[in-house]
Amino acid sequence: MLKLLYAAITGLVGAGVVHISSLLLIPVVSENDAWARLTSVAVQGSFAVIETDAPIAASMRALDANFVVGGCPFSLADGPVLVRSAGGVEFWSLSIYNRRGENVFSVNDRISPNGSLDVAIVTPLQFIEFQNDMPDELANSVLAEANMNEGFVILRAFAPHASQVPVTRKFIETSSCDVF
Amino acid sequence: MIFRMIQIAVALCVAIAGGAWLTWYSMRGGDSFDEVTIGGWTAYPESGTPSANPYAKARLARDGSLSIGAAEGVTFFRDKDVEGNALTGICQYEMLGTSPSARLWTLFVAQSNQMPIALDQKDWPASVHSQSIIYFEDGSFSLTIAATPKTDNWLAVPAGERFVLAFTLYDSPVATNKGLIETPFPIVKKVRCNA
Repeated sequence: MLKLLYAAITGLVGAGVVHISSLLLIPVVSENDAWARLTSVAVQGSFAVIETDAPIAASMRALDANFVVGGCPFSLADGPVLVRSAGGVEFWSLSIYNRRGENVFSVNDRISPNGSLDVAIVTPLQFIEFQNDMPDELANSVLAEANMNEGFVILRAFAPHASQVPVTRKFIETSSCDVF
Repeated sequence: MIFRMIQIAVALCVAIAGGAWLTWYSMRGGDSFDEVTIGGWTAYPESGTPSANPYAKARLARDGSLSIGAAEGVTFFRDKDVEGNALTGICQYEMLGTSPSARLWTLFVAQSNQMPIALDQKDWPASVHSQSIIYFEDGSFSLTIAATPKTDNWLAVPAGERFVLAFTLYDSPVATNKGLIETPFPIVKKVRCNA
């Protein structure tokens, strides 16, 4: 009987090991993370609106229905990615996420004097190159350093009233998210 | 020999079942590490960032949440009134006070696991924001939280169900000081209950 008790205690220690390893494995093996969800509706190079009632938003916590949310997957392999918009809205904010869906960089519309969106996502190496030789086109852009090959941008725009949703959607959908 | 095999089987069963249960159990609720609580409102500024704890990271991978960054804002949750009782659609509440400094704030109703809630009445206000409510002369406001329509500022909640309030401050210094500075938050008090 005492030996069975030893076995159970050994099992409890093993349970701790199983718990820790399964917990650490979940982010690696998860097939339904933010990246997988976004790439099922969006392609590289443009923003796709994430509908709050769509299946891909099903388990996202605290997705604000007062905002129109757009996502754009990008790759920095072919050069920096420029996120730009023509017009402006009352309030927008932007975040860069890595492949695991972790927020690594965020800004809001106060970064630019007229509220327009102009952000260049660069790798640390591209950042150094730009510091030495800044292209004229990027003279007014905010440089966002992102140490990753692939990731995604989420752009949120505030729609104070249901009647402003179409204009706000247009702001998101017409924002560019292209390789420079 | 048989007894030794039974021993190994017991140890393995306890390890695998116990470990799986522990992981499942720890992933059920909200994040309980790295939380910041101000006046009954709780935020999780670390979750969704590379410095989050392993539990928050596992939950992020499962839920696919798009957590807002510090420069965007910060979301505070509360599931209890000022007396410490759980918020429920059976009762009517009043949210009273001033909001912390922010460019804009939104308030919406969520399920107890922080997932969005859908009301049966689609056109009832399940969310309000800083530009959709009426203020007193001193800049404070009073908002009625109830399952049936009310006059003045009103936030609709699901009848008879427990709910959570999600209060998001956009472009706010509160998001970056991590609760080091005490900021006045609105209180949520019970007015009355039906039944």
